[in-house]
Amino acid sequence: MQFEAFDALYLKRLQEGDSQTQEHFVAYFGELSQKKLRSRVSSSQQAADLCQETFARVLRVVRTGNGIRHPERLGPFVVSVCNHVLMEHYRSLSRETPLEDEHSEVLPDNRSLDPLNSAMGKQTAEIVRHVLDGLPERDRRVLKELFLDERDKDDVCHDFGVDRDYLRVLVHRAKQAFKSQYLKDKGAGKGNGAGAGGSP
Amino acid sequence: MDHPEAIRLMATEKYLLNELSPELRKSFEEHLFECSECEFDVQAGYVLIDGSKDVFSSTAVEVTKARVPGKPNQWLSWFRPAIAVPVMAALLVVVGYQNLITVPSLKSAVAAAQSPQILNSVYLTAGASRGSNQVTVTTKRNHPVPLTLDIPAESRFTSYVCELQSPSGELEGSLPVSAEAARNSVSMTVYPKHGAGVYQLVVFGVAQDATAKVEIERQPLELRIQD
Repeated sequence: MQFEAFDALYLKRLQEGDSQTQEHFVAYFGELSQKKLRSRVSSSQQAADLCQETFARVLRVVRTGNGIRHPERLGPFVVSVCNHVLMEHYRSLSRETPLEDEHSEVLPDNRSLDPLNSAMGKQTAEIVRHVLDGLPERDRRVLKELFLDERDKDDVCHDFGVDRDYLRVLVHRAKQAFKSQYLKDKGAGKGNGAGAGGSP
Repeated sequence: MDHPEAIRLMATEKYLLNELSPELRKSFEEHLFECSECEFDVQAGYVLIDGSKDVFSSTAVEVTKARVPGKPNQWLSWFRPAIAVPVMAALLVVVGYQNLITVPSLKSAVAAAQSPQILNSVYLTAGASRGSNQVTVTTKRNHPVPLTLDIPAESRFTSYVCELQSPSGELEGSLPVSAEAARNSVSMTVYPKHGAGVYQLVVFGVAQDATAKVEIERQPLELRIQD
């Protein structure tokens, strides 16, 4: 199978149980997740079990009607599910989360499937609004045309007289501001359990 | 890909903007499994993108709502130059036409009607007019036409009705005449509304029970307008 990218067609095939696509999915993410899991659990059998659990959960979401709305986010979604599975494994063993995973908390999302995240979703939206309000008008317009209007990036660059590097730096600055404010707000609640994961 | 390389390449930003080649994308996704910091970075980026969409779309709705005037202000919109100027121009044309054409014409008609004048009454003789003897009357536009009519009185009728029918057969006016008045010539004034043409003056007899009226006289009357 010729793989180009995780796109809507790929997800559709995965949803319909296409064998070739499933094989690709397992091979692609199996290799990546096994490497991570193997270094964090005591046996290869446990790593294989956790990997299977990860795939089962991901495929369950994929096969839900509106489970994954952004095919290009499949990779990070598998990573977050894998992290959750690993966390649950640690908890079941009554062990502490390894210190190296200090950032392994998964950001809540107001579109999360977990209803418990709805309140945090509002808080997150406020942070995003705050971050956007802090940007110059032109940068806000650039982000609007990129994210909301989903315009071609080259066209946006042309219209605003900027280059691709400017877009990357703008996204980087906004993201850093968001992370900073989010972690600051979340400071008091840090360690009280992560959300169910962002919607992919 | 390791973390310093991911930072150097701005891999997170390129990943979020979908700018990585398939090879680099796989390499970065492999890195994501190992690097919780980059994974957190990517998740934060997605939350920022989704949140921005919400904020921008809600802002767009607010702006749209703000641009829609409330009900009280809708009246003010009529005073916008785009509407007010053509309306004023049209009003000026109407007022001008009334002042220059309609009003003088009506004044002239009223003055003509109020001024003493000699009316040459058209005499319609009973019996003689029956049939095809059409009477021709020439008058000025909007002027009344005086008629004198002999009604062929019959004892079975207690009253009579004179009707003027337009060239198209519509009733233009009607005049009740008592049996006593019908003993003499009846003078009347009619105002033809349809201009020139052949009108019909029809006389009906009304019996005592007043159940029906019987046509007893029909006089064609050709009206000519003299400007």
